[in-house]
Amino acid sequence: MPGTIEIEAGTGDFSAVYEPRRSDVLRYCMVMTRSVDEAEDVAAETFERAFRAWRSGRAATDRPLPWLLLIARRILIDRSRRRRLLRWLPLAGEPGIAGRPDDDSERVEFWLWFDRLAEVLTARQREVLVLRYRWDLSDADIGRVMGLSEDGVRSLASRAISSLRARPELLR
Amino acid sequence: MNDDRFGEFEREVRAVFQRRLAALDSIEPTEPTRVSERLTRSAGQAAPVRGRVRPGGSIRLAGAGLAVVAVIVVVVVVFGLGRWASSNGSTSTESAPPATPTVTASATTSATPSAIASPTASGTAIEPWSGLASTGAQVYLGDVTLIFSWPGGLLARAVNNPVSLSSSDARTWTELAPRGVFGNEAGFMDGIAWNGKEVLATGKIAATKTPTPMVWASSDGKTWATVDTQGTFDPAQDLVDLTANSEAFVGATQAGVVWRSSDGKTWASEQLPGATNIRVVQVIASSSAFAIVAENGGHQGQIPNEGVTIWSSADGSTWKSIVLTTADWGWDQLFVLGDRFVAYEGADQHHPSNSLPKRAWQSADGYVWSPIGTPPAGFTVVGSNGSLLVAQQESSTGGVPFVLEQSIDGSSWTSLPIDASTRDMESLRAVVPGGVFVSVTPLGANLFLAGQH
Repeated sequence: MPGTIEIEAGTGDFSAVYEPRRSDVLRYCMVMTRSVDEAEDVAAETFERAFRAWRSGRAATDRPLPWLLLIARRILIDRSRRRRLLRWLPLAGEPGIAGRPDDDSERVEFWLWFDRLAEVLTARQREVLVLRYRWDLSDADIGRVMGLSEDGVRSLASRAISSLRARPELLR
Repeated sequence: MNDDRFGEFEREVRAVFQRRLAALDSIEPTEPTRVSERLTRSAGQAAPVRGRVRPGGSIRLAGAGLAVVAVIVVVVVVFGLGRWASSNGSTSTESAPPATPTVTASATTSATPSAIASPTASGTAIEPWSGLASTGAQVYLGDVTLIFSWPGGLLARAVNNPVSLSSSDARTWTELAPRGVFGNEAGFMDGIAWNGKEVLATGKIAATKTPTPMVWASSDGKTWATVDTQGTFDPAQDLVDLTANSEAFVGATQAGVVWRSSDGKTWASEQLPGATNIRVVQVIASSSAFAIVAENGGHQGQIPNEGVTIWSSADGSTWKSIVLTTADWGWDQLFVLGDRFVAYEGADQHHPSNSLPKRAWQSADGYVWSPIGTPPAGFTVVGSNGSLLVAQQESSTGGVPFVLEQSIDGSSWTSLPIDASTRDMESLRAVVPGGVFVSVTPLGANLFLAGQH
């Protein structure tokens, strides 16, 4: 078992960025990856990069959550672009997907619901609603995360909400 | 639409999302050992922080005094120390690059670009992209994740729906039954490649608790047969990817174990020379060479911090490597254009607004690289059909026209004409060698073709 670490002072301020948002970043990554393992990996890389930026005075500390989610999203996109080449064609029991035997039953139910959302909402539409409703981000902040204008965010959300109107069973 | 009513409905949606998403609140990092390993590994690199590993005892911040802060910072260190040094111009020595002879990209600038063959599509007119409504299987393709393509057709899978689709023309899609191409067994495919004669797929089935490595072959993507490898194909890890040319099928695991077969039936494996502390991310073949791309310092879930190494081989058996980049930039992808490889750096992940030009290289053999031009700032190369590279504007999104750039030589870039039907198109999902580019829209199963198909 590896040892523990002792660190000298001078780095503590980043905790104000990290501590309140660690779980938020992890859960955003969960929604995006559907894998605890990969979400941890991406969240770790996100905070590592954020810390580097913070140390060099490039952090958006005034609005840390959108900034952190933007970093996470960039990492996810980069990984996703590579993963296109993996060409997974799972039949069943795909690792890391909800429904694993050891998964929390409440979480399994969430993923089943999230799967049903995918029948009517695209990944981007789901994402915009998650950012808007889970973290109450403003349209401007969502735009920063997703690379959209505020109008683009509103348009995307509006379409998603309109689609949900036709599927009231998804709102139970 | 009635605004008030809409507001009420949206409040209902918001409440449902909040209630449902609360299910994720119970998720916390579950692997402290792995985290500790990262911490231990990273400690020696954190020069500005002066972290050091102790054989035991509690986590402390010398001089800071607040235990809660100590815990917080230590976890941050766990997440991040591995790359601090490189980001600040320091030299990290923690990650061991491959022992094989290496040539940095800057050292290869004397290579003569003119020695590399020009792309075959030179002078070919590029027709505007346009939307094509797909038909056939009624599967929502808006969330298609991964598509494999070869000149004979395409394979697709819908997100959250274990249905595989096959098409010969990107227009008409057929659902492969039962629930996939490999019969009723539960399992997955981890590699698929076309060698000019047949499509070969590798993966595992899990009829028992122990997954069994499998190889399947198909000539049309619809009818598949199990290949008897006489037990010669038995990777301990899943393949990261499988590729092929007329010489051989070549796959690799994340740790750098290469699996090779000339016929798909008899396989042999070997560890890439000098491949330690790496994470293989891509395996790709040109007509005359193979290349395996690995992030240095990225093994076992650790954070890569030393750029990428590319192993290359003419036959898939004898490999040599170079460290292509140790840049602070992220790694993007390697593509085949004509009979050469082209490689691109990714975006500056921790500072996304950075608009500095990325670097790009080309190589005929995967070993000697020379710099080439890059797409305009803000664009990322997303696909090649062998004779045409396409770059996508990184901020492109649904609701606005898709913005693409094209290049037939990897150096000069021009706008790719697209028509109004491509509104809402999302990122490229697949490219058929020599032909079709495929994408989808958020609203349906529209597919898009480029010229030259």
